[in-house]
Amino acid sequence: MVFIIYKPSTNNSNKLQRKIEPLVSKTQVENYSSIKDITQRLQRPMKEEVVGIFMPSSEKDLSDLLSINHLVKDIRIILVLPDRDEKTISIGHSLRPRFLTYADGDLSDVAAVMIKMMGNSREEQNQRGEVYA
Amino acid sequence: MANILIIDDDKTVNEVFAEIAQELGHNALSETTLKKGLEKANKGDFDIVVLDVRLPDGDGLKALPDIQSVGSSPEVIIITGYGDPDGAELAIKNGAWDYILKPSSMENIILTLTRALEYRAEKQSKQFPVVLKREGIIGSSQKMNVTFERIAQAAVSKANVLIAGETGTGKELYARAIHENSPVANRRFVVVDCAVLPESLVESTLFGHEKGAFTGADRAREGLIKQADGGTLFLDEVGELPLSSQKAFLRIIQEHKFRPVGGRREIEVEFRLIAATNRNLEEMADTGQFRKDLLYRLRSFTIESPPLMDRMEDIKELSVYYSNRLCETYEAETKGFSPEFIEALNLYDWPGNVRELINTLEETLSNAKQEPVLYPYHLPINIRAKIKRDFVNTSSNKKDSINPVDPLEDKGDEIMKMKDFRELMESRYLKKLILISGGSKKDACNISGLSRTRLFELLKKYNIDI
Repeated sequence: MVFIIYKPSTNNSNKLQRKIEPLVSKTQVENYSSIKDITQRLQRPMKEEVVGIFMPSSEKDLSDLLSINHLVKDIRIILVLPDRDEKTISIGHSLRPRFLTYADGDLSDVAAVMIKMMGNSREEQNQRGEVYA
Repeated sequence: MANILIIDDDKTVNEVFAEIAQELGHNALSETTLKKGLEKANKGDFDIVVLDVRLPDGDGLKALPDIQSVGSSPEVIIITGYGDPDGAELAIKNGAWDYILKPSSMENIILTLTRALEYRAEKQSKQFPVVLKREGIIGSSQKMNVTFERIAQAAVSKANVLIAGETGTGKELYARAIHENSPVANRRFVVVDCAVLPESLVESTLFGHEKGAFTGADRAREGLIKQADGGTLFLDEVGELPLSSQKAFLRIIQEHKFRPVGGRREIEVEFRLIAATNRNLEEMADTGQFRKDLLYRLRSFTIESPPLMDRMEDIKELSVYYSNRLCETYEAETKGFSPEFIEALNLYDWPGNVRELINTLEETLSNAKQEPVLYPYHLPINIRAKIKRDFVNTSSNKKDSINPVDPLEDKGDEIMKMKDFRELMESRYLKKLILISGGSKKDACNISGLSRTRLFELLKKYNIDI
């Protein structure tokens, strides 16, 4: 499983980094800090199961992410919203995130969801290995 | 007054149904052969067709799609004197209204006819979407046509919907299509993925919490249920919802109000609920892993998401759609398909369903690089190996079969369904496997390459003792 992370540089983005680092090896994480860079990445084939962790810096940044919605249809998204405004929340749900939280929290919920996803993925791989071995 | 057509070779059955229909104030006509029945169905404006399974000139179940596609799109009630669980399941999955056994009581016949007519009246009174928005849902097989009709029905109804199907069959796309075609399409579509929520986060994520409700709750948080107010709440992998949270969720469905964690005030909500699962919720309910009362509430309206294996006629359309979409994503030229490539896709059984097909196409496109046409050689090596293995198995079964009758021997234009053929071959393979492994499960696994779990599943499926 690979985590593709989008987080423009802010104080909160360091907080996310600190939560993620202990959980996964460096080879499992790809970091992008601009819409252009992540767009280019999403236009390349995914060789493994991918989870996107997106932490836009503002409502405008979130809207820019929504403009590349067609590139993230087949990947699961954990979305960290920059604020709790109704409009931001509505745009956030348009990305159909599998988990949604807010940048002003301590982000331990993001870590817990990542652990659950990785556990599920291992379990699925084991099942597939057993059934189709 | 409704028009009812009865197709049964037993004239007494025709008379009984016609009498009941007339007593209920409806018109009834009958035919004793499939050919004449189909002709009549095509010419008339029938609301209900009562269809026997074993008719002198054919199988009623096989004619089900033809009856359903006549101009008046009648509801079809299957009647049979031979109780066949597989036939019953097939009939319902293919959109029959009901499957009743002969002889049936007068009350049962009246009730079935009445309910079918009530359903039809309700269906006709509602304005189904003229063009169903179905982004990403590809296929034109009979299975998919039934699914599209169910999606359209669900979209205009307010009932809770349960979408059941294997992983990778596109349940979220169906949920999205129901929302997009519903009166609340311009409101939020809120996804709750029960499979990724750790138990400790379920309630605060769903219901929200007040500041200080628990350690770490340094500010109040609105839950997803509140965020779905006025729109659609999609509860994905609902079978993973912890038992402890099921009771609280049931109350929300019943009373449309809830209390955030640590909150004193109740909040009222109104949302459309769609749930999806790849688990057998009935079995879970029987073993106490899922609340029966919640299950009954969730499945007011059910949609079966068919596995890809059951709609292989869609594979070319699906492959073209997703290959083009992937090429567009990668800003590459669209690829052509060689006939052998399509044939190879048809020979694989796609246990991971459409999702596996998409992943396979992605890898295939990557392997093909700049080549303009895709060939089997470009497929991932594990898929090619599996196709070859199955081919060799089938060939060896043909050469040395326990049951030497060839199911493909020339019977004119008659050919069995591919699913039936596959099952026949699997059953023969297993019988031979058990014979040459001397009844040893370990040897059977080694010879066949099957895991113990899969072997047992198949032996159970075909009722073969080891």
